[in-house]
Amino acid sequence: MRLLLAEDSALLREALVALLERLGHVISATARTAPELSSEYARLHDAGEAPDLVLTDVRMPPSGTDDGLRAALEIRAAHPTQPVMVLSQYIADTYARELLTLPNGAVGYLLKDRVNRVRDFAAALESVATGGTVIDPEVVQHLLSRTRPGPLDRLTPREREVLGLMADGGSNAEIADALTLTDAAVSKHIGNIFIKLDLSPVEDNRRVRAVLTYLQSADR
Amino acid sequence: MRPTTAWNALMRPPWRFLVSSWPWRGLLYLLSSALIGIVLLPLSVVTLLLLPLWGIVIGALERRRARLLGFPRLASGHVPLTRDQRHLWLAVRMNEGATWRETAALLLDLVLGFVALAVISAEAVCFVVFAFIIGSGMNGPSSIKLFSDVTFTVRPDTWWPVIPLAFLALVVFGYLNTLLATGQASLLRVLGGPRQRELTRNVERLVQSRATLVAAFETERRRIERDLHDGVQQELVTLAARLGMISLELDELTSRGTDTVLARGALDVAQGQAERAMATLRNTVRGIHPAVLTDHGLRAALEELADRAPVALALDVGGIERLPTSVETATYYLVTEAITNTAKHTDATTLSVRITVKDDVLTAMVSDNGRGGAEENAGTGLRGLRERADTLGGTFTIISPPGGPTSLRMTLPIFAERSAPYATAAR
Repeated sequence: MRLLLAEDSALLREALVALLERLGHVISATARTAPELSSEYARLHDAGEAPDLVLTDVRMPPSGTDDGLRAALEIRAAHPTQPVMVLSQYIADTYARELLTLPNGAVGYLLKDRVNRVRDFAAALESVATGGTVIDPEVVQHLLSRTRPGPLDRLTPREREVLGLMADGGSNAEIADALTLTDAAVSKHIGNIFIKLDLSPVEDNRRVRAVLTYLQSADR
Repeated sequence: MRPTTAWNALMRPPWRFLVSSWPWRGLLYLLSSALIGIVLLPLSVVTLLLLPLWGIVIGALERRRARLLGFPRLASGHVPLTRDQRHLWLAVRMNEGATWRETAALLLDLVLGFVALAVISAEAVCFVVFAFIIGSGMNGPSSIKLFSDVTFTVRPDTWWPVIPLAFLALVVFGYLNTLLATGQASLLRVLGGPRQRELTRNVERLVQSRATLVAAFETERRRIERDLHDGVQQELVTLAARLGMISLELDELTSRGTDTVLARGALDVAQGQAERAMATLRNTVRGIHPAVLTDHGLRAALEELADRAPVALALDVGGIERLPTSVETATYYLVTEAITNTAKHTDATTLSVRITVKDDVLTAMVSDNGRGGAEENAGTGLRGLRERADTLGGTFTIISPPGGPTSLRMTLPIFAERSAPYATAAR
């Protein structure tokens, strides 16, 4: 697929380009700053070659705070179906919340560390490009281990464990394996989680929604 | 209790005062006064134009000499100059009130030096006379001519009244010397010491330089965080990406039938190592300066903290906006310190954090549900918080009655940030 890559560190940008090309992707353009990301995206879009995925770093010039994230959110606001994957050096629930409250999915938030496990990284990119939602396991872990009151209080410790594994991308069988439960028991827990988090049975992608619902209602 | 200054000593009963060291100190002081007077007179006459400079020297000397009489050493009224301001020394000194007061002290020293000389000489003459009378009396009747026509005769049986007279003189001179010395020292202290305004000015400079220091410290931490982020963190991620590339190449080789088991094992170890390095560095960097505080402000940083804290944290931060960096940082450290203390020293299970901003003053209150009894002097953490608050012109209070709960309260005035946001200048 065609990618638009924004990363301010030349060293890392080069390595990412090499890695992504090795994975068989095409880098349509690269950007070193947030404004460059916006202008490059506009250029590609106007030429009728909108990238299949925008991959951007959070912390970028000019202000060196979360400019990359802002630019990505702006792109999403203008083009609500544009898949966006955000890479970050550290976990910030604030970033995760801002991204994952976007409607339509096709969004991802990963620690930069994940490029290490390149197959998983490639799969995450594919998933986001095809409309999926990807949350870094560490973010999920965080949200699940938080100590302040939230909708998660409604869940039993066991259900919380199940939700954690679910958010990690585990299938029912894998969860059953990890917790030494039967498949039926896992299904029952998941059913309870959906009910407690008010997720209707007809909704698509309920697994990710389970985490999303939590994110959206947390704190505010 | 031992008297601390000569004034206190003079107030004591005579039999105590006279056997103490104070009369001797008074005498010593007067002797040094006389010596100074003798040295200063020719010096001042010859180098009249340099009087203010001698004044500065005398000022420094007198601030120290007064300690002989138990007075605490005075601060100088001069503006302290740093190494790079040395070339301005003369210009600054000549424009200071302190210099001219010290010059006045020099003139006073001249006069009092000769007064001291006269007093000491008179006392010495008295004792010489007493000795002479005793000597003459013991050696048989002899006639002594006091003034022009006053004569009296001492005989071996009539010289003895001189002994009590000499003792009386000792007592009188003891008091006289100490009184004169103390009076002179007190007068010189007034001239040589700093004025209230000068003291205030110096305190202001100290406060200011401390604030600058703390601000510089914070800037430095942010710079280190930024350097690590832009430098070694990116390099580690690049390394991870390169390792990822290698694993792709290994996949390729495997698909062609090459045995890559050993290579893959080695790569796995390397990848695990890289992951740990990245995670460790991330934790270190967070400890140096939380990036989320710079990027998103206090509210977001506290929410992150709440997620990580070993005790339950109930946040009530209202709708606070971005605040000056120093205020955000101080408040952040207040909460982290409270969390650390609560986790380490108490059996409290929850911490409530309440932050309000009203009339350009931030008030942060952190309370636990523990048993209280926290002490500021127990560790450096709480003292550090007080210093931080002081530096920013705020206040810090610990309320921790036995039985609890413990509350930490910090108020900080909010001034507009003087320097531009760090991030724009960083690159």
